[in-house]
Amino acid sequence: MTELAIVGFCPRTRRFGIGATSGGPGGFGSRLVARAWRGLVYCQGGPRHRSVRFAERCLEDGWRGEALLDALRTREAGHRDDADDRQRLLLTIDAAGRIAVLIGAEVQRSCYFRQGAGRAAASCGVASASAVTAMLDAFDAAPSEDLSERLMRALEAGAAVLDGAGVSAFLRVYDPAIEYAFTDVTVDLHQDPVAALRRAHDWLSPLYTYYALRGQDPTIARYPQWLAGQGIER
Amino acid sequence: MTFTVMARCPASGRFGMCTTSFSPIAGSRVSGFEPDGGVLAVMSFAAPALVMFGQRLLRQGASAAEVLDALLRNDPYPEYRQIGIIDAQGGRAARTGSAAVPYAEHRCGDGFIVLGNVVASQAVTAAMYDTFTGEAGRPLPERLLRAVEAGRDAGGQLDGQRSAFLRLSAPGEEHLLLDLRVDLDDEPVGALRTVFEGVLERDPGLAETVLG
Repeated sequence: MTELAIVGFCPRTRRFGIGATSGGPGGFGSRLVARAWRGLVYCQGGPRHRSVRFAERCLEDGWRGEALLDALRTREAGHRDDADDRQRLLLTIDAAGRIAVLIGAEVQRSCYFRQGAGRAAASCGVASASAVTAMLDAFDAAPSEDLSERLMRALEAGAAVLDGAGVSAFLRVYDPAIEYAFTDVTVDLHQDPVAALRRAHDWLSPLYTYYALRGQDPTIARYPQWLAGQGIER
Repeated sequence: MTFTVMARCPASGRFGMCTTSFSPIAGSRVSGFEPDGGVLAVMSFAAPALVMFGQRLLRQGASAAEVLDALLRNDPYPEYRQIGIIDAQGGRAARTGSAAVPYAEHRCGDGFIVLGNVVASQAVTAAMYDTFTGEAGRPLPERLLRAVEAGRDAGGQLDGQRSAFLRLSAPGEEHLLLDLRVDLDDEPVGALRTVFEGVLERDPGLAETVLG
């Protein structure tokens, strides 16, 4: 199953996030755990994702980055005997932009991982590192864009290298001022999920801030008036 | 700008919710599941932080009535919210605030709640209620989806729908059994039906778990 993921951190806004596409038809809730102000862990590979829930507890307990993955390796002995663990790639980024990856022994030949400062890309079920390289290049090529847009462009670049990838996709970005996801868009079971994600992201991106504000204050103007105040007609 | 049906299966202890909304990405903002504690929805003017607060209370074992009371007392804008909660014992609590945009109401049935705001008329919530009740022999996610389809067919939102989701949890399972979203579509309920059937067709094991 082909899977692509890109994680990134914006030092300007202190936001962190992830974009991913998968050959599995949705169900990202069993692959991703994220906590605002803390970090996220994403799992590629194997059909069961108990490690993700353990990772969630580690995040809540304060584990981060390499230490979190060390905790996964050493504290959950049962998982070390779980064959699924050998088929997984676990990718984590914390709220300070620190990144770590754990690649299971059985998927090391079909998983690729590239990392730079504040960003990393991973692929599973592909024949070369070209997709992860394309994702990082696209992410790096737009340093002035919002993090969500950079993640989106990276996903598009990776999918283009593979001539399309997967049947589902999602985008999540966490902001240091908000308890829940600032950007949270998902496409489940679609012929071209990355293109569908782009369409939704383009429609929604002027409204991410609006929805964050309205979650705190329902008395603000409805979105057409709010957008008009930003100089955007819809 | 949303209508929802949420339920607890008394036989399995599973919780489920199906929702559609004029707003996009309803799946990211409305629902909270605690597989061993309960399910809640905060609608009308969605407030994800309130949902997370309610989830924490359900995780701690609070009843539906206790969660509703806590949400109302801690929310600066309680009259803007439409809230539904079902706890692990099947207790239900629901409220439609006075500032929820008409037509807005909720109805509590045997193990389920329907809620709607900015819907075309009372016929929408009535159709959801009657359909969920009348489909008692079907698997929970199918009942939920059919109820929302009935609400759509009875008039739906005044301005139509843009997003929808269907979720199912089970006791002892830390992640959702089913978590399907349509975040932006001209006919999201129909798209959700396509996704639901397509996912189960691709994954017979999941289909057996979800429909069994």
